[in-house]
Amino acid sequence: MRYSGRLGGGTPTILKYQAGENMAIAGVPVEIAGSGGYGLQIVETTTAIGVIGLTLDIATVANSQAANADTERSISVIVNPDAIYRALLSGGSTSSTALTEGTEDTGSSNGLLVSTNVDYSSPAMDETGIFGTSGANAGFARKITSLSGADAVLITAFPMDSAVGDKFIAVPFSISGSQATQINAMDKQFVELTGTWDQVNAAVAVDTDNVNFLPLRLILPPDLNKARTQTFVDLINYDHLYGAGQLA
Amino acid sequence: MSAAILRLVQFEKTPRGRAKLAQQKSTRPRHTLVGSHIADLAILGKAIVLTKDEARRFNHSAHNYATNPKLPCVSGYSDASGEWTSEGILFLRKE
Repeated sequence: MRYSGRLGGGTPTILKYQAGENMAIAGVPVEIAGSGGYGLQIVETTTAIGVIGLTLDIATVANSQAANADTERSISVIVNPDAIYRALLSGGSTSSTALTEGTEDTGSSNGLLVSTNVDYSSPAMDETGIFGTSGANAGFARKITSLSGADAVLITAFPMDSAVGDKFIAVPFSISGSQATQINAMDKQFVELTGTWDQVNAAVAVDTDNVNFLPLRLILPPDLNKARTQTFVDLINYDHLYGAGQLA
Repeated sequence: MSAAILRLVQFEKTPRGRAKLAQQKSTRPRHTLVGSHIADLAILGKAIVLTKDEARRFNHSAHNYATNPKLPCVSGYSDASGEWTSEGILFLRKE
């Protein structure tokens, strides 16, 4: 993931900290180590408590003494509590997995039901969001307010009827809006990170984890045919050490 | 400390530059290096922050560093002087 701005505006603040473990890639969120630990640690995929910020560096930790060299390894971190992190949405726990795209199999004459070959009850997608990637509703997003078996039910209808063959992608957080304006997140639903902590795993049930990153906005590619691999989400950290504080 | 950073902080090539530095030293306390235990650019890591003035004097291409156009202006403590700057320049090491 990468820094994409601040809610309050202004420049990002970058400070240096000791790396408390090997960090193979930059652009991962880090948190305090806690008692008995040292330096900053990478957050877990499902929790992030006492986050300091987003790394700009990689590091290989070496704690033993070395001749004429300091063994402490420092990393640069963007520390603003209101920083917005932009992460690619991945279709699995492995980063850069294509998102699951459902193909409409019945059609809808009122825009209130999305019935595709994807089972929206597993992983549970009730109270999440869904957007069209092809067909009349391409680029429009709605909140899934309930499920009817494996199908997604909406309260606010898609603007057009759905036809057999239209395609949709569901994400594990609620959204609304259209690509022409903004597709923003609406609920307090935490996301889960991929195994390398640099992307968001979109193939999980809604808000079952507490990674303490809240979605702010969905960013679709101009070409929706590439939505499976080029859809991003902006995130806000919910448990920043210099912001809300350490919750646990 | 790396020669590059050392030069950045202490070395002024021209008489005018030396005079300016001397004038600065006479009007404000000399800055000590924050994190002076940091040995060289390699240990400083991939990213360094410099003030605008320091950035002008840092031969970044010779040390394989480049600015990040997506982060044209940052806040932080200079890795050369320890000064706080809200108009800092971020350099990232090219892989």
